[in-house]
Amino acid sequence: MGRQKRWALGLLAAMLTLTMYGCSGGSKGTSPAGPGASGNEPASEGGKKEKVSLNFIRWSNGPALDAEEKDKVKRFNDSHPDIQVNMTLLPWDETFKKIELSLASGTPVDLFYWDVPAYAYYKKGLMANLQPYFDRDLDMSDYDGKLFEPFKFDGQNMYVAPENYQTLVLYYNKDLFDKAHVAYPTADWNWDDFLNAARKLTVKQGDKTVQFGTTMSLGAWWGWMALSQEQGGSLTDNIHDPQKLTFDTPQTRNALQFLQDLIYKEHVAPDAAQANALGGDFMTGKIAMYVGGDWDLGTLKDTKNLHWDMAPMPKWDGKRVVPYWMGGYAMTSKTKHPEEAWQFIKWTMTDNQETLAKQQSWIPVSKSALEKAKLPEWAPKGYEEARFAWKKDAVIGDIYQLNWREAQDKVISPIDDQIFANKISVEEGLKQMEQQVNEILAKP
Amino acid sequence: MNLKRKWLTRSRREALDCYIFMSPAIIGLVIFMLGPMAASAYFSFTKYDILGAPAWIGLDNYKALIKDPLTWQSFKVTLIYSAASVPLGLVVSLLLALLLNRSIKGIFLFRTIFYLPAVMSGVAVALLWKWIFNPDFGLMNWALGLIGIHGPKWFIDEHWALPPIIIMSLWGVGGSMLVYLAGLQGIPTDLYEAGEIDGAGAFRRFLHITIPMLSPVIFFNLITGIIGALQVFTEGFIMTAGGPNNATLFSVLYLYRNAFDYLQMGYASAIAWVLFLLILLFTLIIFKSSPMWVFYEGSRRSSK
Repeated sequence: MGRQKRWALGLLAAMLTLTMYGCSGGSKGTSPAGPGASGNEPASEGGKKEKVSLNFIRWSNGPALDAEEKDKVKRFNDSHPDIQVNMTLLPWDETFKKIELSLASGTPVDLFYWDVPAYAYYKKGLMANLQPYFDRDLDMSDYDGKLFEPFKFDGQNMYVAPENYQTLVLYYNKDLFDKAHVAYPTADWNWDDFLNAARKLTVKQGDKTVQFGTTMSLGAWWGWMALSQEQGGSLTDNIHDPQKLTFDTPQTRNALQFLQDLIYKEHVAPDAAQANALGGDFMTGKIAMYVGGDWDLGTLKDTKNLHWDMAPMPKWDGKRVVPYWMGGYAMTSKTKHPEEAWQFIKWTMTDNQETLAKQQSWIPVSKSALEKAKLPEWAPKGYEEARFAWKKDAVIGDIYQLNWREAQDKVISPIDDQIFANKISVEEGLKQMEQQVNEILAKP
Repeated sequence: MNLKRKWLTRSRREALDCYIFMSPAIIGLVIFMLGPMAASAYFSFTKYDILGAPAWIGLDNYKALIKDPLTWQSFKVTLIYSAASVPLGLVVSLLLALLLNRSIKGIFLFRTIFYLPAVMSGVAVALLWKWIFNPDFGLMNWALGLIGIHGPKWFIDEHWALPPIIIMSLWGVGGSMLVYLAGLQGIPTDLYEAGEIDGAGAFRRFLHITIPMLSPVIFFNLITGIIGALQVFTEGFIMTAGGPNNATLFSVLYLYRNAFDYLQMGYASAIAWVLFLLILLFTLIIFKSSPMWVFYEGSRRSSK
């Protein structure tokens, strides 16, 4: 074999492996999920209308919640003989990649379940304006219009149809509170009360902490943003396309300092390594309390031998701000069947709301459906107050900006890591964050 | 018939066979890969967000790439990983192959067991190792504790995030081990016998017979190892999400994020091409150096 040829072979091998990796990245996890399949239904019998198939992509929330979603789609299909919704459940990351590719290839999905990365589609004009349908078909008095405002991306028109809310609550382990003779959290708690309780609930054996008062569950940006907002601070006054965010403010410094101190000054919360060591933390009874999403209820309600309850998020000097998020549906602007797609969206916002309320996995957006629903058997004492009385203190926990995800990945997470590893001061971290995030946001 | 025989000489026949055997790979390459590669070359000169049409911007992506500290960080991480994992893998898989190249009863069982990890899913393996390297109750620090070493905070301390991924890479040595094993079995025993008669000990036989006879196989494993290592992705994607503080931000992971998370397909394509040229460069260097150390039986030229 001549040298020339071996050369060529090496080149070939390099190309092959390179492209193979590229491909395997692309096809990972695209399992053929979703009920039924085919996109081309045959024309139905007699003089009936042709059945319309809609492709719908949503992200998966694990087996229990996915089962509810599959059931939802099935009930819709059963009650709407002319429409067939084909749902594809994908991991979160895959979902947006898949939607992007469907948009790029000119065969867009009809419907998708919204999350923040999809804001880019709105910016490119790929999401349908739902306001005309809202005006025509929905009785807005059944909803909290104010809470829907964030989805008016242009200030006037709804682009996503909200189906449910999510929020933060304070979870606590009653047994650990009893054992330490600490009074249960109340709706009047300030963060000082929280810290005092956490001190009493931290248990050491020798120099090793075997039980922590709390965790670093508010360490992500939306967590400390909420603490900053409770003091009247904010990252921006406009969550739609902010060109500049402010991080280096006294309120945000206080918020982050409070969290960093939980680990390194008060020793009531585990650092990353210790958190790792505690394993299932709250579930295994080694954490006395934490502020977490109400989506954790799905897991908590099935735990045995864990006596837990919940309370509203603590206040900062008497003022409470609770971040909330919305789950909802969006339609691509290029769908061939906007009317049928809207039928599905409308159904989730109206007819299905009572079922949603009954299931108790998500907070329904319909006020009347919520009133009719009974409290579930597993609901602890503080359930109603913590889960449903947050609306007056609610502030959206999102920021919509094309480069926001890049800013989170490249700047906010690494600096967060350093602050909570005590490698950088809060002040220095926020200074860097403000400068570097704004550089990214300013990119065209 | 006569004419045909003339045309189909022995060497032509061999060449034909060679191309027939290669054809599935070549056809696949042309149909499925050349197109995307050409497209990515074009995209690397455009601003392309997948959602809209690409716009030509010349060399801007490459210029931005030079100024982007994270690109450099990602190449640094990738090169450190490669420089450590490739030699380690070569040595360990050779040692394993030597161990398994014995005629003991049931040796096939051991060969299968050692090869098994190489065919297991990358994601499952990544999760498994994450537990093994858990700083407080993982097997690794428990074992280190037994010999009185206080294990580091694997994956959590940014200086100790990459080493476990390098150690993990050994899990996949089964593939190259198998190639070594085939190579070892192809070494004629008369060479060892001759060596023994000439008074060479086991180590000298290994050094002067096994290694040179195995050099084409080492060469092959080195090339595929480097190509594979420079494209490491799953570990950073599944286990560490590139963190802490970008300590495990591999180039392909950064490329992936640019393409699908930040919607900068053009920039991602530029990274892909730089990575490709880097891989090409390493491959060429090794090919160029091969006459110095690779010994092909039957080609006396290379042995000089």
